[in-house]
Amino acid sequence: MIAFLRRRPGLLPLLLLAPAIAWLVAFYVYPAIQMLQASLWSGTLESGFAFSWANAATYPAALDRYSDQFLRSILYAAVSTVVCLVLAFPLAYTIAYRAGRFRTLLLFIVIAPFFTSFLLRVLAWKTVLGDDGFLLGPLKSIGLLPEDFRVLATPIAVIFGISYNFFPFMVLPIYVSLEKIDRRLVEAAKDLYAGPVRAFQRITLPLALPGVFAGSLLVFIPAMGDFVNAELLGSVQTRLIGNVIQSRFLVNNDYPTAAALSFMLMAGILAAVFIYARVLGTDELESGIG
Amino acid sequence: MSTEKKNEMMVSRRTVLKVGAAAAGTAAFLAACGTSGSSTSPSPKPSQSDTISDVVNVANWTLYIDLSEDELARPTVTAFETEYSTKVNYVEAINDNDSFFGTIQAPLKAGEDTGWDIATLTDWMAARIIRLGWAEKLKTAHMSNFTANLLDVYKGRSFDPSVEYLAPWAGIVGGIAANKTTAGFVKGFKDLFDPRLKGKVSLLTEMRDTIGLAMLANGDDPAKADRDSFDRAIALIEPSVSDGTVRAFTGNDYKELIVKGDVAACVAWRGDVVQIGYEDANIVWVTPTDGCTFSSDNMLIPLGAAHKYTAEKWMDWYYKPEIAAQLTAYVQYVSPVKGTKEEIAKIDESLASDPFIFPDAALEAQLNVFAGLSEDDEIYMNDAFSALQGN
Repeated sequence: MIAFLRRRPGLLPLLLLAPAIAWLVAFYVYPAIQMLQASLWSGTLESGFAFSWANAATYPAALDRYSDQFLRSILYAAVSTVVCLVLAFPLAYTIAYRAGRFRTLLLFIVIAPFFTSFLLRVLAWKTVLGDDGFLLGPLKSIGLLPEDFRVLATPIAVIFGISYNFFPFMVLPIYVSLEKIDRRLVEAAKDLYAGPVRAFQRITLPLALPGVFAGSLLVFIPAMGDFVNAELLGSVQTRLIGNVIQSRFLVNNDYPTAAALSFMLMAGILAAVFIYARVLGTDELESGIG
Repeated sequence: MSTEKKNEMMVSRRTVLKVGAAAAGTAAFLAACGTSGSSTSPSPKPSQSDTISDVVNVANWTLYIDLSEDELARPTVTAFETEYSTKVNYVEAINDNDSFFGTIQAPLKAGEDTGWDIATLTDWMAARIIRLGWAEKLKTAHMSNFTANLLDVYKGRSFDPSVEYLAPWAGIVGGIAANKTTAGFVKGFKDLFDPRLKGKVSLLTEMRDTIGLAMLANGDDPAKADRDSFDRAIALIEPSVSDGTVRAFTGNDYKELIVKGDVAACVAWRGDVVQIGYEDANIVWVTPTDGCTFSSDNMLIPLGAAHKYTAEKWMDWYYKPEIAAQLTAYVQYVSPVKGTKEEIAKIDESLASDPFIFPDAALEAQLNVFAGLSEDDEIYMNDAFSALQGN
């Protein structure tokens, strides 16, 4: 085998890529093709489904019917990404430069929530944020909040849930970017009479941007498809496209609409990532993730 | 042949489920992809011996089984385990019919074991599963108690006329649960939409209960439900969903919401409310002034279940009047078992005269069964009901 590869060195990269390609084909390409096919069906679970290209009309119909949920998903995902960024950058900065011997501990704390199930974490917040729970209950009883005040079943609760759950995906890439920065560059800036703010603006922030870009993608993409937070922390008015897809697939057995929505969501996210990468440059993204 | 016709090809339900599973999750996807062959009818597992298995897997709703004083044990389940030297994996896996169906349809379609030997589903969903050929026929020779003690009213139902597939678990009266302190004024379905309850009301995701009560409030008869009366029911509810009075649509999980105080009044099932009352005496049952809904939950054995014989013995166990009485005394749902009334009197005499367990003529006049629906009407109504829920 080794001798064979020595004679054909060009095959080695392909061989190394083969497992990943097989994985992608089996778990991404094949389901995606099936999903595309299902989106072009018409029929019902009991009578069976028929494929026809004429069923492409499902796409505009689904987009028209669920445009509110699509827009809401984009809005909530974008706001959550910004919230995560605003909170994560100072934290990552502190861990990278100010935490000293507590660095490992703080990093552990950031990822600690991942040691429990996603669902349990959301359910825990449902209890914590309850109308008369131990957070709001005491504040209401001393008159700081009106009796009818609530957080659950509002957009705030959903955005909070998404931000909370995907927060580590923002912190870690930014931390990696910050940690890789050669601090002598900052010292050099100071030697050249740059103040701390200017040194941050001209040195630290630009060099940390790859982490910000990577973190933004890692938060925004799963947030777009999330449905658990909206289901458990939200209300009818905060339904996201993920809720609709889940419902069409598993409740209404409306596979064509569900598949069309899934495909549009996937295509939309891919297009957004492509544009993002083109605008910002893939080198930046790669160095942020790496 | 037209171009459209040429392009058209029938897709087997197996393929349908493959795709549904692919999008629903990797595990389900793998289950679906593991199937082969072209038949649209799954074949049951061949090895279902008439011996008690080591384990039997039971899926049921919450608040549907008797608990010990410390709530750590389920006495009738434990007694079954002792009697048959088996282990019951009793899981409260059903929050509503649709979501549970979503979890079992892929393996059922693929002709594979769902992992459940018993699933307890409401009439309309049980009927769908029978229509799809996804339920095992019961071998009633194994079920002497069931054969002897099933109440006559449950025989000859249109979806299981010869009682070949279903063993009713309980009759369910649907109505309202209310917190006496914050929603004591609620007497009927329309009172749920009082502005004082803004953001404090939940309705059931079970369309037939929520819409059934709305139809009754509109003066329509759920037994004659059609698209017009359905649309009127939606029109009654929709404004209160839009303005935020209705906080959520729930399955059995309304229990947590009302106990925590997040919800002050909700559409609920009577037996649940009695049990919630054990936890919080402020939560009370309200029989809506316009009437209640009525349906049944039924035990069925999903096609290909690994432990069919033990599952049949499990069903039969709950048709022993003394076991049915023990269960009913706790859950307080309508018992489908002959002789329960006499046995329950030995536990608590007052229960034997409780019309919500043994409906009398006065209560029966208030109970309303939702009409059987054609597939087209069911799709129409489910679609609009989903839209009402933001889906």
